[in-house]
Amino acid sequence: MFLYQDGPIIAVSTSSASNAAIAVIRMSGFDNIENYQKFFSIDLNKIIPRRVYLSDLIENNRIIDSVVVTFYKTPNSYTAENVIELSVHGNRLNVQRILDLFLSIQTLSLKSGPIGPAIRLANPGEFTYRALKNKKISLSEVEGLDLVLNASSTYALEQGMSILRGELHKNYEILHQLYLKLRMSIELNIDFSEDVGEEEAKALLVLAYKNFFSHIETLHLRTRGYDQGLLSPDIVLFGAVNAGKSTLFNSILRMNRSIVSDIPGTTRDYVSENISIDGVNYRLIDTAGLRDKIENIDSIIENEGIRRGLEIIRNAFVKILVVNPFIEEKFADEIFKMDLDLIVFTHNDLDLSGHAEKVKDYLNKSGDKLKSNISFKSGPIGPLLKEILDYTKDKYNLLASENPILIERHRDLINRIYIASLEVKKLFDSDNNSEVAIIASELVAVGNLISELIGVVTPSDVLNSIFKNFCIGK
Amino acid sequence: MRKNIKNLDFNFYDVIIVGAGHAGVEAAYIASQFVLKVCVITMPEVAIASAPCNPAVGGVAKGQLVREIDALGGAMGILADNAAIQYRTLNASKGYAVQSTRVQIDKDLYATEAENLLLSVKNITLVKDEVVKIERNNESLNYTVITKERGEIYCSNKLIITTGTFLNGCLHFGEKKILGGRVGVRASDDLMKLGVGKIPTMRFKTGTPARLVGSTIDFSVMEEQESDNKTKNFHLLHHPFERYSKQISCYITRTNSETMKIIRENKLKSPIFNGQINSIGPRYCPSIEDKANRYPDRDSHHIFIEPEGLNVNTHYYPNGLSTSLPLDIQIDFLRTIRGLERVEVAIPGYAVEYDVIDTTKLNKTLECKDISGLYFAGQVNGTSGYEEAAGQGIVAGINAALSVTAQLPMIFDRYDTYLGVMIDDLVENKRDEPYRLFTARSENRLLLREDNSVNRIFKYRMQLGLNRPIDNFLKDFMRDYEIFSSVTDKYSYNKSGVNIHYFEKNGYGHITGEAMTLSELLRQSQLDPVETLKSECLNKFEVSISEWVAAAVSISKRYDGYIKVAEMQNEKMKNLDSMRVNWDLLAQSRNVSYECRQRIKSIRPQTFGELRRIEGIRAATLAVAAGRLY
Repeated sequence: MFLYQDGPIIAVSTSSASNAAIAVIRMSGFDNIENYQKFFSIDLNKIIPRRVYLSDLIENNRIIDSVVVTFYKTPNSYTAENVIELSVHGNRLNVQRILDLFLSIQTLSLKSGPIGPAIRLANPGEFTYRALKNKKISLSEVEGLDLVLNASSTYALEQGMSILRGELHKNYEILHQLYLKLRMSIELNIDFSEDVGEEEAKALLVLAYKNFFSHIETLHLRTRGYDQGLLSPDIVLFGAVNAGKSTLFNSILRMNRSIVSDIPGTTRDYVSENISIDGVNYRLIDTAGLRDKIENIDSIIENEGIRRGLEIIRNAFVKILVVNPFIEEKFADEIFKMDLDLIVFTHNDLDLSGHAEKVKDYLNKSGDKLKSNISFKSGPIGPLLKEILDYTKDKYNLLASENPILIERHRDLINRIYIASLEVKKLFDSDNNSEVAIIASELVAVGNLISELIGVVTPSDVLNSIFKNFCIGK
Repeated sequence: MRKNIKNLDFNFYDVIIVGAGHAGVEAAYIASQFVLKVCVITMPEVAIASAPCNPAVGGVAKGQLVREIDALGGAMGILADNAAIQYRTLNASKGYAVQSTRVQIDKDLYATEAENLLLSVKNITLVKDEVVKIERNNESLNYTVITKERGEIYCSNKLIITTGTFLNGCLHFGEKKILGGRVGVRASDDLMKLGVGKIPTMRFKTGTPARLVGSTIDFSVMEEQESDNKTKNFHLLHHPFERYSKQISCYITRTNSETMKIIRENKLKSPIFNGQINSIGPRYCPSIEDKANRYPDRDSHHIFIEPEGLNVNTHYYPNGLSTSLPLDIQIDFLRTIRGLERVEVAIPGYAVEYDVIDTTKLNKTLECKDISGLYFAGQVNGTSGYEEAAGQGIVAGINAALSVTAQLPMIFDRYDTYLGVMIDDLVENKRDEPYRLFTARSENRLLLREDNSVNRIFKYRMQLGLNRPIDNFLKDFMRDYEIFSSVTDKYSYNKSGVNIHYFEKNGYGHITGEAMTLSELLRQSQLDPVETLKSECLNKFEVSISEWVAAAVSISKRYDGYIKVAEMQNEKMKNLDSMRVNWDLLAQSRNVSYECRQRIKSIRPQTFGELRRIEGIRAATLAVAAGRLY
């Protein structure tokens, strides 16, 4: 195969970014488990598949770890090959040492006679690829799996599961069926209008065209409602120094008890915390790096920190501008050109009417199209926080209710199918619909894209693009 | 010329053709051009190139095919023009790419013309006798054909079988069953009995409507369809618009609820539905009882009433009413139709069942893979239509002749000819219904047009190395084509006042950009490209361009861009098409549905393209094959 080769592979299947209690090491594709007897204190000869054993790991007669061993015998494993899973102590050094132990088999063989073929580190997605190749899962299941494994929102998780169940794929197959019907009714028009009658053939064509186009339009809508926010939603607070961002940041954190992680922001550009609202994980970001500089964007635009700060704001799911009504600000106009979600006034318990001028000014700057999107919030901190959280929740639910398709490959293809269909639509809608043969020829392009969507394409194309997202060990 | 004709007593021929239908005539006519000794043996009571079904030649895709045959030096175009009594351009409103010529023919005249053509060729011997035995000598690779009446023996290394529906033919008139090839004609025995060898056969059926007595039809209440004098003749050496016979009209009427009620009520009297016929009929040419029962909501089907000849007593063919119901019911339902209230039936409609051979056992030359020197062409290969038969006849004839003269075989490419499309489809695919050619079978429809048949066929005909009037025509055509094509690309109209006025006067629209080439002008969709090119050649170059060349040049300009885009689209598929597939593994794969596995097992596709073209293969199977997930 183009991506992968056969033979035994090994990888750490759990996150190896930091020390953890347990790490899982997975090996697949070896002929005989006894090849590895030398590394284990238990008798591998007597091991029963799918049972859990405690064993010492041995390197040169020295115990290096105490691990839990599970053996899956071909074909009853994830990859359909022989698989060993080791749950080892999750210290990164320890994990690396155990990997090295198995990877050293070739060297050991040279010293003390052959003990089986060399094991190599698995490439990203290679375990799943083997599962695919050995018919354990289907192509679309692979894509669903990708989503499930990388989801950080319930929506993405659910879509992944739905793909694993083949539901999205059914939708594409319907598109394919409707496409075939459209093609067929065009052929009917060209080749058989004498047999079925000119008007009947035309009526069939119009119907088939309508059905196809309404289906691709619906699918296309599902690619438009998409926001990166559905995969990993960020809530960003930004504004002038002393606007009250940090107070707001900490208030939101205090209110939201289900803090997922306590890893502080890793760069000097911003501080972030993970929070959970209604089962959805968000990253709450305080754009600290902008604090001193936001007023003066023009003069220091080349500053990398600013650029990155702006990038974070631009990509954020919810953009909250924090304003202290009592201080003068000079925001660059481009701040207002980004789809702001909320402008929050802090440092007062007053009614917004006292700041009518400022509100008017911001509205002007943000342009007509944004007016309806921005809410101005003020008042006591308690209700304010609730409003912010409700706004976020509603925005998320609204997006999710459009049932957007998250997989980039699908979104891209559906968009291209839609654009190609629009070309066909132009031909259809023009008065001069004489060139049925040209419509048919344009439809071939649409058909090729649909074939790609449902998986009838060259292996290198589709598999490469699917597996590039996979992590090692999956 | 062969020098080793040793034994004249045995009547040794270079090529023997059994059957003188459309396939047999083409095979004989093309082979004779190689200056070989050709023998055609045909049933004595059957007319040469007879048209037992509809009285027409051409049609969508078939018209293109007839023009390919004609450019190759075949007979069908000549015969059709000579016998044509009505011309039509089908799909006239759907763009040049899918326009096709169809002519109604005088059947008797067509047969006479065909017989005269064969008789006019000195090196063709026409034998009217029934073949009773065919033997093959494995050592000499000789075939001996023995006929019945005269008991003579004919000998050849090349044998082309074009027996149509005559193999084991069986006719059904309602519940009545008669052995025969068609009405009033005996059937041929099956191939096994003839001793040809072991070739797998299947059983197909086809049907034909009743023939009506003209004096009992009221044409005044039907829609008249006149002959079109703008439709070009088929034969390139004919003047495009000259007519060789009197032109007459066809008529259109429709079935109604009363008609369909009678047919539905008598469903069980039709051998198709009562189990008397188990063979599979053509989906593409359904009988009226098929239509009645397949589309229970539709009562109005249009019917073309087509004359079968110029003779005052000629019969009329009600196109669209193919049936095998008993005669009394045929008369009942016919008389419910407007204009047919008092109609008399001259010959009842019937269905015929016959043996066809499994064409996956043939090469692309139509020679048997396992039996060298034995070719099959025409309806015996499970095709329907005179044009498909003729197309195979010419392919078999050419290849038999090339083989006799020890030359490389000629394989037609599906990307530039309908001949190639048809032969590919036939030999790659085991069908379960009669094969009819239509444009959708081609991946390259915008190129496979009528107007450019010469451009597409030129290289094939030149490869034959023959020197006949048609060859001179083709060379002249190609020379003119190159000249005019290049001139149209180069000649341009700048945006001068004179030109703006000129464009206005001629209804050419606006000059786009600084200047506009003649090619760009021809692409304007509101203009008739052929007429525009003809008049520009006269106005600007003061030369007249022939009708044939004008059409080829101007229509090509219109489609070139689309064809290029289409080719790019096809490119990806073509690359994929050439990928090898392991059919054996695929046929065992759990990822492939049961039916697909069965089809794969029987066809044994070697490449993805062959797999893709198997009828009924599912997208899911293709996905599995493309991803090599088997």
